[in-house]
Amino acid sequence: MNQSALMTRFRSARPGRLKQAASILIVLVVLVLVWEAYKFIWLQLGWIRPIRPDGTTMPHVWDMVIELFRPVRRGGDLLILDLTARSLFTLREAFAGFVIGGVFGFGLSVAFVRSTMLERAFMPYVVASQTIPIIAIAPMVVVWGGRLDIPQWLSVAVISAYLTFFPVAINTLRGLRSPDPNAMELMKSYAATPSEVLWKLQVPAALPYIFTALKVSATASVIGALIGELPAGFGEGLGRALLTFSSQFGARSVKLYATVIVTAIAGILFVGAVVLAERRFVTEGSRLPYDVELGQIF
Amino acid sequence: MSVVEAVNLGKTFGSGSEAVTALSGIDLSIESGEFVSLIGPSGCGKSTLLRLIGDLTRPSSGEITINGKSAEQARRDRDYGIVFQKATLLDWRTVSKNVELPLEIMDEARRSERAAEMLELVQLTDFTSHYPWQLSGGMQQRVAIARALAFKPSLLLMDEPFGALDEMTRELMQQEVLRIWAETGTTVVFVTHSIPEAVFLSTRVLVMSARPGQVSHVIDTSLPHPRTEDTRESNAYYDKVTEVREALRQGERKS
Amino acid sequence: MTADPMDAFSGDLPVGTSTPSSLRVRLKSYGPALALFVGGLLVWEAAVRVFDIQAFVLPKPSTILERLIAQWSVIIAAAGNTMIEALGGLVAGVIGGVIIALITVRWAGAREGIMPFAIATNSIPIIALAPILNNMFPITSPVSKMAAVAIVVFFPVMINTARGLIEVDQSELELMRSYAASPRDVFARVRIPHALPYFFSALKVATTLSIIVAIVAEYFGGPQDVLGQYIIGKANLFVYPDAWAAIVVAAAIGIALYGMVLVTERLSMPWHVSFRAADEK
Repeated sequence: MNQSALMTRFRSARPGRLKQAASILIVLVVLVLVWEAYKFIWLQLGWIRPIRPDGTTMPHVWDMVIELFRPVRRGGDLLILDLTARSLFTLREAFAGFVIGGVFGFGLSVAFVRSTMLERAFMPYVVASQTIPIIAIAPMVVVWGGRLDIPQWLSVAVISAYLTFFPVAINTLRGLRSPDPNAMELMKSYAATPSEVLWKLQVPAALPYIFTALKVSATASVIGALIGELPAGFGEGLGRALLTFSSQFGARSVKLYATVIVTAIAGILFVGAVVLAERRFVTEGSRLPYDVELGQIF
Repeated sequence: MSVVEAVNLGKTFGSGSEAVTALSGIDLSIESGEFVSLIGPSGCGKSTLLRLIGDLTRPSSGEITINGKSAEQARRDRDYGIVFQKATLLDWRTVSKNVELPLEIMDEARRSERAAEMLELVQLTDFTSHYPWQLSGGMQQRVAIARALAFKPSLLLMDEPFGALDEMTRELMQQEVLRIWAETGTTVVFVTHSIPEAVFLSTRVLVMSARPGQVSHVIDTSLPHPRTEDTRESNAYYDKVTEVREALRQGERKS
Repeated sequence: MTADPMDAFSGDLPVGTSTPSSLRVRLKSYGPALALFVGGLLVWEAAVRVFDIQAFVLPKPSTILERLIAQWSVIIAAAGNTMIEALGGLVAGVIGGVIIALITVRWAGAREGIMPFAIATNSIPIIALAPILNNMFPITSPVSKMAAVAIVVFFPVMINTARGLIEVDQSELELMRSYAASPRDVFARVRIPHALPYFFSALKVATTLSIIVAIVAEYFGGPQDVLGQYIIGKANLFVYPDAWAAIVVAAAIGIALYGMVLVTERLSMPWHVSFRAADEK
């Protein structure tokens, strides 16, 4: 083993999963403490800038959590039940689009790898499609869809698909082309058919790349779904709840805070599911580090 | 006073059941002006030994002195220059700025003149304003050598600097290093995998064995200077190469 | 005359010496894309006319242009306000991101604590904070939108800059150690130049995001004279050409900001890989 490999092995290993989870928890606790400390200190000193420490603008963190276990409205369901139903609604739309976009992106890449002519013809369109800020126009798309009698969930799914297909397509392409030229030559020496090369060498090589894109598209899909739900008239998802509770801020702001917490959890669960899938399909050594550039494709 | 003096030097990485003993019981003495090669199989600790000399890692046992001082002091006094297998030039600096790097850190005067002087020594004057990516591997290594000698250290440490080059380039670079060695009188400690290279370049070859890393043989090359292409084809050279090869095999058999 | 033995290796000619990129070469690479764009517009225009598509389904480019001119002052005023929000948040987020990145380099403990959290947070729909921010700050001030932009922009900038500062080659660090260089030397001469490409790539992401986040945050409420409210207002009234006109302006601003980052990047990093590749074409 050469010297630098030895030194690498004995330098402190990257924090394990448990340590990472613990550090995230610690940061959260610190943030909660900062929140409460700010309230306390500002109240004592009577300051109101930059944020008022009163119960409406800055409810106690525990009040936000408790609110989840109160009824949404008089005689209604518990907030947490209502929000869970809404989360499922939003996530379903996001997921539908996510799957469609992922499959389409993957298929497109495979086609591009098989035929450079196709790639040269259509790649510019693929790239150009990303210059449209779909998230910014999501509400417009949904209203438009409504006018054309397309069900809301479908419009939102289209938005999520749009957000997913580009990173998946680009990353799949990168991944399909990632194997060593020597590996390709090896397959040739086995007289492997193009299909065999694709499925035995290229696709497995592409999996880490694909999952990197999927993790990022998962977040984007959820955001797209939320924003798409904003226009007036569509009521069953989290986006609508955010808007409604925002308008009721003066009356009972805690509901909005509770909703934001639930939204964050919903987002984490979706990405978490993709991460778990990654662990199943991609071996530890091949997983790629977090890619910020890919992170913001909207 | 020897330039490098090591007594019972040892280095172990890790601890407990995971411990790996890279080096054990190393005694050596290198005099001024020598060209000493360290050669041995993978895992014999030759690179570790080089890094102990350079205080890039600390010994687990034994002592090492450079120019009569502790290795750490020698490093702080900038007594040596080092060349790695990868040229490790900074991408964002031109060739001459790369050579000036140590001079900047050491806050020396007349930096650009000294860089120019060094580049002339390695025959790269025409590439002063180029960026590393515009140079071939061999040329990058020459810049690395120029940089290592920029502050005129008395000791030059080289860790398989030509490992990544092809054979022909390698032989030319070996000539270059010998020429520079003759012109500057620097003491050189050179780590290599290649028997012909070790014999061609050095005054002495330290053959190392693995598990644990030790110096198994010390062989004087006793070949005349200056060494040329003719030297490579002389009988004396072949005999020495054979001697080193046998020593390596013996070392392997022992472990 | 003695030949330099070094001339002997032909395989050793300087790799990829940059060739002057002429106008013709530039046109060759940008030409097709430009042609596609113009062609696309023409096809769009023709298709709407020929198939007599209704304006609310897909307006003609010419109609959009018409409405853009008609509504110019309103749209530009709105765009100005949105830009203030975007830029304010961008500056705050970038500065914050860089500062925290510097801290994580200096203190390894901070790094292990903050990085996982930052990466996790970047996966959440942070935009959900927008309604809260809108209510925390006075409804008339742009600060709430700036805050949303700042928070969203902070994470990619921090993560990427930290990565650029930390993931320096081991050999470079060993080299600096051999020079007995001070930590400050290592920082200034190795870490910061190494981090520049990472910083700029995050900055590109950040500028694109800033406009989008500002507009989306505006969807959650606030003063009327901003692009987000303009777009959603027009969309709700089914006056699509006007909405599209505003979107075109938003996209143009985004591209302009991105372009400025590109220029700055080019100027500060003449050595970088991505530029060599372009010159070698």
